[in-house]
Amino acid sequence: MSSRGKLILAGCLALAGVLVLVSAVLRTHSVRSYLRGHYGLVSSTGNSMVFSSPSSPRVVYDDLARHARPADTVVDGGGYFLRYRGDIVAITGGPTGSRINVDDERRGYGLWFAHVGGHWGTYSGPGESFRGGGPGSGK
Amino acid sequence: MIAARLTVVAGGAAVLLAAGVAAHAETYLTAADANLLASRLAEATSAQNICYGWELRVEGGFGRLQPGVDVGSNHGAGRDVADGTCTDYVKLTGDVLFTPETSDGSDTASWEITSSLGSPPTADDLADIGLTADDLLDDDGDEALFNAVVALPRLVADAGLAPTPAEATPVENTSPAGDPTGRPSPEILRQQGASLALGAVLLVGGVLLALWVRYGERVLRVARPNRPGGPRRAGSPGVPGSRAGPDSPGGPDSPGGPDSPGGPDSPGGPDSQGGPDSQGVPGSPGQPGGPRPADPPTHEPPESAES
Repeated sequence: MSSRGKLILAGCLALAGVLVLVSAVLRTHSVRSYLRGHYGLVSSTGNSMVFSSPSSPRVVYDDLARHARPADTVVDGGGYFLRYRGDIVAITGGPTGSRINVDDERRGYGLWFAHVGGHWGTYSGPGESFRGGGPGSGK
Repeated sequence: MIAARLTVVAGGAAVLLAAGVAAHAETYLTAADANLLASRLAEATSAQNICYGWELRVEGGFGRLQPGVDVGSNHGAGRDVADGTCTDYVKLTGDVLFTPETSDGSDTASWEITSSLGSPPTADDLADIGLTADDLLDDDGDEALFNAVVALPRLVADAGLAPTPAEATPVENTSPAGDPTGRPSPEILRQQGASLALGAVLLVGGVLLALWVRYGERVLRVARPNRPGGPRRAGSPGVPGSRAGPDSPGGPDSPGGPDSPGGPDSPGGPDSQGGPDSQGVPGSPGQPGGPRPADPPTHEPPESAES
């Protein structure tokens, strides 16, 4: 292959790389923007937002996990709790589907403390905290 | 007498050592976490009329964890789900094997959900909420066990096998008993990690290829003629005008190598026998007639014998 041909190939590779990177940036959803675009907004106060959905909490969780993957999840009888870089999302059952609460992580941690306390932060109360050191003596 | 005293001292030390290890070793869940988990399961049981429990068999704790069985249920920590009089039950059963550092084997973990219900949740349902048995091997494996067990009532309700337990409601805490810690990775890394890696590889590959074409090949072109014994073609024996290699017998006009017999016009090398017009100086190495590596390969017309 001539030098000119190699330069054209190099340019195509670099251009493809730039396009893939730009596409990745454009396709990244913050959980708030995704919820605004796909769910009905019930109320909004400061950094706190409430959405609703006719689907069950499990269906809403699967949708969010697919399109705005959380960093961590806690599931218990009370609902689905999702942690993002700056937000905490709680999906609970409502009379006609699901209720989705979005709060900044500090407020959300306090609101849902009974469910996520000790998992995503400091905790005082029954059970105190998880061992955390765990099976470190293994491999 | 002395031997008897030494025996007593050694025995005492052994007892103290064993007691120390036992004091620090613990079951998979701490007692406080196990009690908290049991109370959460009890709430679900009262709402769904289904008993929940866990049983984790641990082998090879090596001083940190007690090998044995970590068991609990809505009846309480340390009590199996079968201890009560439940009509239906759902139980997470797991096995963890920690191998010593000196072993070639790896630590292993597995779990499954057993139940009296017709089609209970499975390990795949736990994987859907980000929990796998391998999480039990991590440093926070106890939290993985807790999260998996406490999720069972919700998974059962999602499968339509029982009513949904009491839904959580936000509680305003003017002075919350804790603060969030740690900082999750940015969304773009979690959502588009593969695309970012692919784009970076393509971009860097293209730039490197361009740099190679621009500078690398030029460097090679400059370096190539200076390399003794490089790509220069060895002269064909007896072909006039060919540039001979070191051992080439050369043609009539061949500059000849060190051992080249040379032609009539050959300048001759150190061992060149030279012709009548040879300019070679006997015994002077490196004089014309030896390899001339700096000369670029050219196609010279064959010189006439008279010139």
